[in-house]
Amino acid sequence: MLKKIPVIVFMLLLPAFKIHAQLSSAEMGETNKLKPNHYLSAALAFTWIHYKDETNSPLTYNTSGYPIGMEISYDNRSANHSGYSKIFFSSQSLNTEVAPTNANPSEDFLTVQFSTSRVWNTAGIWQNRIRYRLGYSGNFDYNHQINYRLGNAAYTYAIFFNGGVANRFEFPFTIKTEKNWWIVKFKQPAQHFNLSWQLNVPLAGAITRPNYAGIRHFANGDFSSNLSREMSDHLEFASLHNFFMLHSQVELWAPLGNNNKLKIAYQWDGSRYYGNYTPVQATMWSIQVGLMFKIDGRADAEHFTKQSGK
Amino acid sequence: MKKLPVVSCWLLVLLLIGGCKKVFIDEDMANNPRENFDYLWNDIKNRYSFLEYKGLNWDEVYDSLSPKIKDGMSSIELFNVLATMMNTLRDGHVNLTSWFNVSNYFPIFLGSPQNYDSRLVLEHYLLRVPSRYYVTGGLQHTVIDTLGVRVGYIRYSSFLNTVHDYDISFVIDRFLADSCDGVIIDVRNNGGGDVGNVFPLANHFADSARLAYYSEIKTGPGNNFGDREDVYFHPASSSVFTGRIALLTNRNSYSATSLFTLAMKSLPYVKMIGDSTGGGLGAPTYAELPNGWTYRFSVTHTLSPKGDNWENGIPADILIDLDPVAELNGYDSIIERAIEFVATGN
Repeated sequence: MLKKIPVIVFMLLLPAFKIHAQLSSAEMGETNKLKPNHYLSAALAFTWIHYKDETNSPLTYNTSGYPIGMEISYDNRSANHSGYSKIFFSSQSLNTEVAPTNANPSEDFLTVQFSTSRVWNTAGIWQNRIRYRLGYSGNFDYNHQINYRLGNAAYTYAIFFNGGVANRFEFPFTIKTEKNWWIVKFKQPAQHFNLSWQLNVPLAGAITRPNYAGIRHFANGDFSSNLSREMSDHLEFASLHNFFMLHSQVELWAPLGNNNKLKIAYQWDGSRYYGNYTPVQATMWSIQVGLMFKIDGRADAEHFTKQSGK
Repeated sequence: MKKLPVVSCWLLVLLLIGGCKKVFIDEDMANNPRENFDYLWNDIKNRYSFLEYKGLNWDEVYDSLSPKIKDGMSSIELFNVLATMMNTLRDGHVNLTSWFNVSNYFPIFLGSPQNYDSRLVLEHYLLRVPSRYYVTGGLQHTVIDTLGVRVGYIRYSSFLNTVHDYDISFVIDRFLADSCDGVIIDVRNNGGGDVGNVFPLANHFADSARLAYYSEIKTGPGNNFGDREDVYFHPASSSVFTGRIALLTNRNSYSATSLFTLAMKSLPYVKMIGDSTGGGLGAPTYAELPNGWTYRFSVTHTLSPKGDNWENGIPADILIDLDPVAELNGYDSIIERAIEFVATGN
């Protein structure tokens, strides 16, 4: 059943492709008048990871230490499109559920993810209060485990890159702040928020995994050259038949002074590889709190978007 | 039609919220004696590189040990059954590690003469002339002068001790300055360690680039191995000794020491003296059981340039055991035989 999930998801996405063709040209023409806004943001992420790499263990490793991560993002937004490029990383200690009974120490885990996406207005929902944007996403993930108890096989990795479909739902809304909120007095009569949900579904890419034996070729006593050779030799085409991944992010953007914003996000990732090399399965969820700094001097295209959409 | 993407996405939301971890990550195996036993048995069957070479019928091992697995058996009882299974592999590179015990296969060297007496070597050879005794990095060395034959003697006790190029260069330069007729490299009781130390050492005894051995890594169940990995060693840029060399080994010379021995055996002026090595030419991988215990076993095999599989031990060129009578008189008969080789070439 699990292996059918990619197919099901792909079928679910088909209608989105069709809707894309119905893009409202009139709306595009009007909103193109404003140039996009650019934001640079940094967020602290509280991140929990579940990771099962069957190269050297049948067990799921879970976050057991400080669940800290970091995301740095560049966002590009206009009335009819939005895009981002971001890098996320988290270095953690993971352990298994049986570890307490065995006094097993935790292992080191590192994930570094670079992703980029751009989506365009495709449809309006609920009388255009919600905007559906469709586009593409690209992703590069580096994940490794170092489990010192496992000697030669301590280091395992899952490195992949892929591209696919990005879906984004945006719900810009305004809260009137003409009156004081308890002791808080606002300068502006209205505060503009944006609630969005983006779901990326990679469709094709490549992945490299450790070999069947689970160790490097140590015959020549070297490590790094054998490792790099193994990584290139074991690069495998990955698509829905052997690799399935979802990236989901819900974000709330709240206004701050000087056109900057506060970002609160809930990110969820899941991936599952079951190709020619040993399977690896992972989920990660994180809560992010960060600041978005507007790095251009232009008018707020998003506020314009909401007004023009009415 | 416009509602379709909304419906699709809400279905995905339900999928994510409802399934999340379970959609992507399979349930862990049950942690019970049967699952642990079967997991280990299957992993050895699929990945261990010497089942065919050793002629082991792994199904018979299952049939004989499986009845000993009972629900509710203690961890110690389970460990003993699993350790018994692993020791049927007769391999020093095989261990089971729990939080309370580690299994080992000892008969490789316990079933053979010891052929090494560390006190005898230290007292009667390394310290024969105390002022000649040096410790350079992980190498103990001296110059033994026997009836006009000058022999440089190197004792290397573990490949876990890093050999830097400047360490071995110092030793070789010393022997060359002392006009040594030959060199003895004593790796008896050297249980191995880091393969990365093999070639920094061997390169200082190479006269030309030579194929040391080749290795193949397991690529699937059965007798399936990948492309051969030819491993060459090359003469060091300086401080190279290419005179007569005696390499002393015993059954407790294992793993990386066996790889070093294979490399040195490819040199025509090297004689391997003592007992055959303990083998251990396969590189071990490690893995974890559903109960969190770890284990290791070999997943590669390494063959001589001519294709010999000496996993059970590299045969000595001159087979000789330590003579207990000579030992009582302060002589190591293996070292004495090596000195004779340096003196005569035989």
